[in-house]
Amino acid sequence: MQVRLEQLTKAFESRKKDSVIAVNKLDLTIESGKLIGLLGPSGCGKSTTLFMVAGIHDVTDGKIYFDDRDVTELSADKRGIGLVFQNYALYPHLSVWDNIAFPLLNSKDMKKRLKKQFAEQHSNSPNYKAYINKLVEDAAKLVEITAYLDRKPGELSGGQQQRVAIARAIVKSPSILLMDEPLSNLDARLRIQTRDEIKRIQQQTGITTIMVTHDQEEALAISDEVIVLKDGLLQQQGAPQDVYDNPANQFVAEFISRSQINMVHGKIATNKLYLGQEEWFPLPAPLMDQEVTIGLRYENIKHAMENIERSFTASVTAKARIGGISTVQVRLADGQQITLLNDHDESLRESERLNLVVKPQSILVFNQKGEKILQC
Amino acid sequence: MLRPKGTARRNRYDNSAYFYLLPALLLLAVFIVYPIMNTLITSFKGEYRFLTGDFEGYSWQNYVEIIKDPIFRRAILNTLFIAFVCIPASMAIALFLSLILNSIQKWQGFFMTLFYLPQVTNVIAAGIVFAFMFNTNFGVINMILGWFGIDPVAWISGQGIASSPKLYHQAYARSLFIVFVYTVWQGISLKIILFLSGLQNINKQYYQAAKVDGTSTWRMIRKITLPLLSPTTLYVFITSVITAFKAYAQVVALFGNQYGPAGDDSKMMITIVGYMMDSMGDYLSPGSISKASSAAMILVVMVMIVTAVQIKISKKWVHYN
Repeated sequence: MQVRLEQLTKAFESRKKDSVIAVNKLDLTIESGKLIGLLGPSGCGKSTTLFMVAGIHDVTDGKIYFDDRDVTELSADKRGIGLVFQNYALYPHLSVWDNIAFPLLNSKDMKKRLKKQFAEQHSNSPNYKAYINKLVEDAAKLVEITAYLDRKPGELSGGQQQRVAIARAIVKSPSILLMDEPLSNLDARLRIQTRDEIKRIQQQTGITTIMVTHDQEEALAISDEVIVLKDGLLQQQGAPQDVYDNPANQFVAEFISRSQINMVHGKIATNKLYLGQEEWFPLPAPLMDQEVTIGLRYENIKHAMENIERSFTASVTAKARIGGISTVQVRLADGQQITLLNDHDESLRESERLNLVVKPQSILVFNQKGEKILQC
Repeated sequence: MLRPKGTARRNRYDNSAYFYLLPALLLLAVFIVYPIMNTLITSFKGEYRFLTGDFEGYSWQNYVEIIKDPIFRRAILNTLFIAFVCIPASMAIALFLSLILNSIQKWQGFFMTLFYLPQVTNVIAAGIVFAFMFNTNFGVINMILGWFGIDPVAWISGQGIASSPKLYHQAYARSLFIVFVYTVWQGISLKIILFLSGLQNINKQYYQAAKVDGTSTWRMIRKITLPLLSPTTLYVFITSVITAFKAYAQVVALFGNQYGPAGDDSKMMITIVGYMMDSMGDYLSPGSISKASSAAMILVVMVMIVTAVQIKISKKWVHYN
């Protein structure tokens, strides 16, 4: 099912004078069957957006459409969504089976729907009870927790609880699956494993899925599309690699790179780009003279054998090695520091002078407002 | 040196722990353990004279005597009545009011203050007010009944009850009713505070999850709230049992030291604690302090039995996270 947000706005009333605008005139279209990563730093309005789509938060202004149906005023249970909470919100007093079956057994509408479905396709199950049991077991099978159906959530590990939460969300075959920071309570190893699980489950079921996360790596790894939010405003929407390679602005560039990017001070004067105080290269197209910030990702800066076009020199100040990744810090003529990946040369010595070039199309130039004015 | 890690440290920890606990243990020994043991011993002393300390051997005599005493039997009956009516009633009302209070935002503080007032009101003063509310001629209760065309009821009256068993039973029923109303009113304030804090400890996300699944409010209360509130409910129940079995002040506040309406000399509304108080007031007669002690021990055993049964049953319905 397609999800479309039109000028979606959420303002929280505050005790002080001004209300806080958490989501600001958000326009979005999420295509059917896609896995979407809703990405942004904490407080950017991503969870608020998710809860508005879920119907848990009221909408201050704007519209929400599922396909062509306006669901803005519809209560949460009438929207046909499954929701996975950040801390799972599994009922602690119920067994795993009861948790997964909860949505099937406690809603009048759902009961009506299931009775009808059962009447239409009773071939497999001898009675209604067995039919419910089959639905629960199918969901459990999908997330691979069939061995724990009798246990209480408190007896499961974080990853297993997460699976139960997903099973509970998908057991009623929702048309949209919403996940609020589904991996943030898991340790690093389990997080990678579980995110691949989510991808697999999403592909297997084909449910349109929106996953909120503050972790760009998580979003880039499994999403068909990422949506970057900041201060309630849409920054960029696109395929993960495209957003990574062509960030719309300085915020997206920094956020998506998770600090693996240098933000170097520079300027544009008489249609030439200056790296620090040094003239670097002439602009491909004319731009106004101004102070700029130049974004250079670690992995895009390379050693150059000699003084070729668009190269610059810097001297080594420090080397660092974290696991399999080693980096070099270099200093520009005006004292600014740049970090780059040191992929081959172990023999670099301190204060050694290096000739460096930047991969084409990966020099990102931002104006003082953080808007991207040039990528070359 | 293959001693398990932490063994040495644990010993040191144990010894110093007792040292730190000493002040508390001393206070406990002097003011709790000693009085209880003394009460237990006293309850078995025969012909015990409080002023001289003389007594004639140990026996079950005091227990036999009070159990034969019709006034003590009445005290047990009244106490059980109060417990079995007022505990469920006040718990149900308190739970109902807490659920409503918990779901409203505006005026919550105001209503909480209102419901907490009984807790900060003097029991005797409130009892006198209650007695006046049930006054035959001037009471607000009869005034309200009058609006519906009901004749004034002699709520607290012992007139003619000595000669007519029918009138006696009527007066008894009315007196019990007033005690019930007063006890429930007095008891709900603390229960509301406890229930409300229990309710506020339940993670809101359970309700959001249930809401997404189309669960009705009543089902949410039954399937989520009540199970998750059950530890609080058990706590409220146990403290209520103890409070109810100690019923005394409300009876004195409503009826005075006669434990009954004017004209009654049968101590119609006496409770176990009331019986103890009467026996202790009579401390000059030999054996009366021992009888009070036996009554106290019987009260303790009753509370322990009810609590033990409840804790046993609670394993079935209380969910700990």
